[in-house]
Amino acid sequence: MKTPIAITGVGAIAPRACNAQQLWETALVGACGAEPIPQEWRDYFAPNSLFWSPLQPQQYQVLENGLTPVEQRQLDISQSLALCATHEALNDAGLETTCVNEKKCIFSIPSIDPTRLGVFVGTGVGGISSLLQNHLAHISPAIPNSALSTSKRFNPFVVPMIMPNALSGQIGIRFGARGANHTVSGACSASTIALCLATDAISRGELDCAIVGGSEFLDESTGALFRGFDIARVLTTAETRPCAKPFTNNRSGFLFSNGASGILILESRQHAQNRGARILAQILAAAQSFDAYNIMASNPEGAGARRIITDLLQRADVSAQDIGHINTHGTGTQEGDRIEAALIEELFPHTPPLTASKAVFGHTLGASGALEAILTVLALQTKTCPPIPCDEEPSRNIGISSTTQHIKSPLAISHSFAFGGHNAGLLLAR
Amino acid sequence: MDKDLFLQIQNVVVEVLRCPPEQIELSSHFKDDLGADSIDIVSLLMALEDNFERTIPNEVAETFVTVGDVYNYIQKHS
Repeated sequence: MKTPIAITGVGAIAPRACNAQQLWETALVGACGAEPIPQEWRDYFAPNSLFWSPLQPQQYQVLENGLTPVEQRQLDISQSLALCATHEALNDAGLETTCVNEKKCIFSIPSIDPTRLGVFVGTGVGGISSLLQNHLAHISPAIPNSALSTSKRFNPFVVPMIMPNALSGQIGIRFGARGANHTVSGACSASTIALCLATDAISRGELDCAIVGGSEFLDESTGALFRGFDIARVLTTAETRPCAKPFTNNRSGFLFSNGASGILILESRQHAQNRGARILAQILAAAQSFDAYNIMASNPEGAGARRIITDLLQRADVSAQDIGHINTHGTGTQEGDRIEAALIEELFPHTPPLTASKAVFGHTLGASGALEAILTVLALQTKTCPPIPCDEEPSRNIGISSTTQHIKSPLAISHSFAFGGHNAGLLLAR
Repeated sequence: MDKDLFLQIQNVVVEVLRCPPEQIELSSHFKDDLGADSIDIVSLLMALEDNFERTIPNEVAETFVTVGDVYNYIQKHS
């Protein structure tokens, strides 16, 4: 990449965090926020995993977030979360918004050419929760012993609630962004891929600025989405907290979260400088690869993940020893952590401080890469690597710790490796 | 007129159409007087169902042209 891309604003909603500052504060405490799964789910299935890391309802009930009751009926919660995180990120970037249509909640950003403002947002499953919840409420009276006696109207807006492209579309409509607009479906790498695509589009000169990140909401009253992951045996089977124990011998799977959203504002450095924006961090390189191996398992040799790291170092023209911090994928699964830990131990023998944010917040799938990119920005700014909520020794000689660590170098990597075989990463600089 | 019922309906219309309450009368035409488009009408129907905790059949909803049509239906089925 010839010219670094500037990150000028961040916004987030995640378990135990209603904004990016709270995200950082929660990460620094480093406690596992798991709660027992809802008791009523056991009426429908016998779970293998006993914990999850939920958003609290007030975090996604739109009135609390300044969205209107009308929007509540028309938006999937993943879309509501993304809109709220985008408002925060734009404000953080100093990009003033002006309401141009109160009824439709449409804003403009006067300081940006709308045709050169793009939107790239990742998600794992889009708005499937809305479909499930609507269908359940609609058909419940026909189900024997149903608790609901009256049928609710099948929401006429359910199609724009479930179609994945509505996620980036709703952001583009709300803020009048008329440049490239993409929702990226890449499972756990979705928002890191979105960050790569936006970085590339700005680098090519196609855009001045982009709203970039991810959003996910996986929740309905019967626990069906949790069950899907649970039955695939990828969730932690821990009986006590902390649940996910990334990179330790006692890891048993990831801690499920029902959702989050993270949004970053990316700009060409020239554009950011011209408007006098504060630059939080810069993206020096972005890289993507695909395993072409198995839809549910990573290449056991870690070839795709290795290529991410080597491409990032080569494109940024830095050596592995220059890297001062890595926000790992670190889910806590047996095979995923084995591959990632071996790779990091081999490529980074100087043991830079690592963190594994999913052990704290839970795995928020399509939002996780964006949350981790935000945490990497804040880690570089404060020269502080957040801890993980587990004091067991890692299975490899890597720089993971249950206490905060000092970051010595201004360079960091944040990477994601997804179901399907989609890998993506960013190399960031303070 | 049942003033409480009218105020309840008025609040729902204001919430959905974002028009000033003083503009809303029983004779107000949703499309011509209050600027509602087809999406607004669907939103209004859902808001009325939530507010009055009832399902309004589609064939009835299709006859709602003015605020008075809504008022008469809800008053009759309360």
